[in-house]
Amino acid sequence: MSNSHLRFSLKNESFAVPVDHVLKILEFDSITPVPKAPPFFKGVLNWQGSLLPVIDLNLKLDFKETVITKESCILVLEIKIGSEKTNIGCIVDEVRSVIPIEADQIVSSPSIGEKYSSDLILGMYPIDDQFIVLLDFTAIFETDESVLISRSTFNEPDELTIT
Amino acid sequence: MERYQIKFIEEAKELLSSLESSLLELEHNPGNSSIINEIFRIMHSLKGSGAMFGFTRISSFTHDLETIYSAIRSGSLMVSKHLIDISFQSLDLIKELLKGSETSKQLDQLNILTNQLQLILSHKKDENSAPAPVSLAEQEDNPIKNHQELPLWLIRFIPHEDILIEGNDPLYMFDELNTHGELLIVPGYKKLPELSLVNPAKLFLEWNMLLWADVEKDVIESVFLFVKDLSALEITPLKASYPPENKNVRKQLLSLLSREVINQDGIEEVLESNTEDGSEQLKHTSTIPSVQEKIKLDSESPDTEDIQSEEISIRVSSKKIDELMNLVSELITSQGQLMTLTEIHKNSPLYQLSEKFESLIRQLREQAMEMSLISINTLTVRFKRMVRDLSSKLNKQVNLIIEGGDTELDKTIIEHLSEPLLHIIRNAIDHGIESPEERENLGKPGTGEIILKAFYSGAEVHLEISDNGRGIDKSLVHAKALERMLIEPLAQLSEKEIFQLLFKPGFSTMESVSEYSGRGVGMDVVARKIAELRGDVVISSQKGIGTKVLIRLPLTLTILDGLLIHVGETKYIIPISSVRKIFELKLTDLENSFNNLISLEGIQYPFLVLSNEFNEHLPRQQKQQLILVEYDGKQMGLVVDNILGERQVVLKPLGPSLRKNRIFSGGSIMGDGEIALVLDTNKLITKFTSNE
Repeated sequence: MSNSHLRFSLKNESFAVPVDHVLKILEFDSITPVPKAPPFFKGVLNWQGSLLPVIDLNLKLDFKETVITKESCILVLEIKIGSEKTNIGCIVDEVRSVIPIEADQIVSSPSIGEKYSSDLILGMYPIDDQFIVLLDFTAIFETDESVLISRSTFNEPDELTIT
Repeated sequence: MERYQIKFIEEAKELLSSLESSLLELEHNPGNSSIINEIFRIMHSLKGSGAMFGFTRISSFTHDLETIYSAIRSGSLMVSKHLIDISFQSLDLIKELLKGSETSKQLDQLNILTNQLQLILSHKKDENSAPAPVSLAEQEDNPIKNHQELPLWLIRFIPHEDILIEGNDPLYMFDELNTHGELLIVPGYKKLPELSLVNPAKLFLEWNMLLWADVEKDVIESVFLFVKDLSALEITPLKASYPPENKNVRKQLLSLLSREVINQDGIEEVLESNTEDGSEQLKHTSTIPSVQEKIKLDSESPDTEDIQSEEISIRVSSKKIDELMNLVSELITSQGQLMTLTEIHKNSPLYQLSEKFESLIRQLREQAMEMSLISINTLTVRFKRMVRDLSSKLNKQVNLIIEGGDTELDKTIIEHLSEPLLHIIRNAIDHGIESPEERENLGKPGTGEIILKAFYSGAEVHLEISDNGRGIDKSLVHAKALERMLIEPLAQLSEKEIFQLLFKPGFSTMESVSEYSGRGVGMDVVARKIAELRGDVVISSQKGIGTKVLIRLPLTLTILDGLLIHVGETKYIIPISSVRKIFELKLTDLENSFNNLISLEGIQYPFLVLSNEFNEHLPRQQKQQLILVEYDGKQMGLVVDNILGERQVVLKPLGPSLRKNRIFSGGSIMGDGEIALVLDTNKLITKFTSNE
């Protein structure tokens, strides 16, 4: 696996994701809303002829909703939900650059866990005089499904309801 | 080499599945010679190609089986239940062996079965003691060619050197002659010059031929019509005779034909002796026409089926079909875009062309869809086999009847249907059908019946699996559900609702876990699998009389006719198949409605205002459209802002993160690139009406 990571920012904080997972960076475009979906789920996008679900990563990580500017982008990521590979779009505030990340310099996350749940973080990477947060996208979207299920007004419970 | 082995395995699987269905047929018609021939033929090809591709174990094992069926063919061995059982076990073993990894268990079984086969063979009657009842069937394969006296023509054809230049090819002529009957042909080389002198554009050969065919001389002449003038053609009638089968006879004839001067008497003499052979054969078989008639009477399925001309078909990997469907889907989307762009200038030639494209694409879509449809019959062999094995294991007598097996469904649906259907049939045998004694005590026929009926109903296919077994005890189901706390103690449930409890996870009315249906997938999995196919399943049952399971499925999963609607700023699609009626309403009508019911044409319907529901604001327009949708006998109104028209759309999945939502079955990309979500009206109606 390449050690190249894509650096992006959310609310002035730096994050990174392995470039292997990034299929494309899209300019922000209008998104078709999906009624009754959870707030962080912004809707679907026509990407290469198929439907791409798009989420607001800020909201997903319990930050405030993204304010769309001309810097806003949608990262198209390839992730795994369960055993299934799928694509998902994430709205981020700004895409910065591609940086190399040496695995042996990643430190486990210090106690910034109050800001967001630390089980969604793979580690921190020191660069210049700040830390880049390495997000665990698999973990984020594994919990994603359960989040969606718990909204019973919208989703089916796991068992079939009686008619 | 690997590649060829994979090809062989593919081919073998196909052969085995036709073997399976032939064996099932043979069990019902043990005397039917055409079935025996078919089985023999399958084993023969399996043996042959197995040996060719290095599957020696399969090949030698199949050889033993083939020997047995050859003995049956010749009448020295009878078809018995035991034999068929062994054949089925052998078939299963070959299937296992094809998987590649040989386990010691498989090898043990191989030895056991091989011994069994040898044992059966040792019981066979002396070959000469019985006349061969089936040899007649061989003759039926080729009745005209072999065992009838036919007019014989001696043809001598010395073509002109230049006929090739004129575009004639003698090979085509010989092929044509061969279609009239049996042709024996020998070339003459005497005009052929030394190799260095050969001009490849010229023809130096000549031919002598014998043709056994019931045709007039002018028919033969007409074959040579275009070359006759330049070439020498002699056609001489000889004494009618049997076309020779015997190799030696053919050899003698060929050598007679290769002489410069043809000895006609010699040919007739050779054939005379052949005729004696032939008549001897006839004598041999003529002792048994009564047997043959008997076979004819015995067999329920007349052999005429074989005579029907077979449609030519080719094998295409399902992946290619998927790709084709994807491309067609893309094409439909692009066409939608083109239509949107050209619609503005309705008089332009571009618009007319676009309309023409639309109609062509529609036809293309229909063809492509048809290609991806498979008939339910492809599943039924598995079902029959399972019924056979399971009923004999449980000492029950069960007859599986398939009705409408030629009903076709999308191949993806068929693939996912097999497991749920197997489970339902298994349940019917295990829990539904009683033992023969019990049935007779109840005054039912000893043999139980399971009917699998498939038929089209609108844009859906319905599958009905009914049995005449003991049925399901409603009160038992109710009690069990209470015990498992699946329902509230005071809940008032209709009969239908009680039966639907069977689809709850972990529900089973059988106390003991039986090997066949208690374990593994339950009815809850059946319901889920069917739901994944956008279908649904309903059980009805009468105690003592039987159970009926009804599965409703869409014809195809990918393309859908829909109504494009506007709710607020967003477009949505409602499947046409669920739309019953459309009413225009005033906003005030809705505001004056009481208890969320609206009265239309004298009937009260529940309704949902989508703009309210989706965008959480009230409808803005004074005129609203109410679309009356129906599912499962329940109707409700969906109030929308505007109806834009009918569209044919490609349904795209919403992906795993949204799969479990209860409102949308997918989305579709419209002509302008915009997305319209497709409402899952079935789920919506079910949810909404059950909340009332």
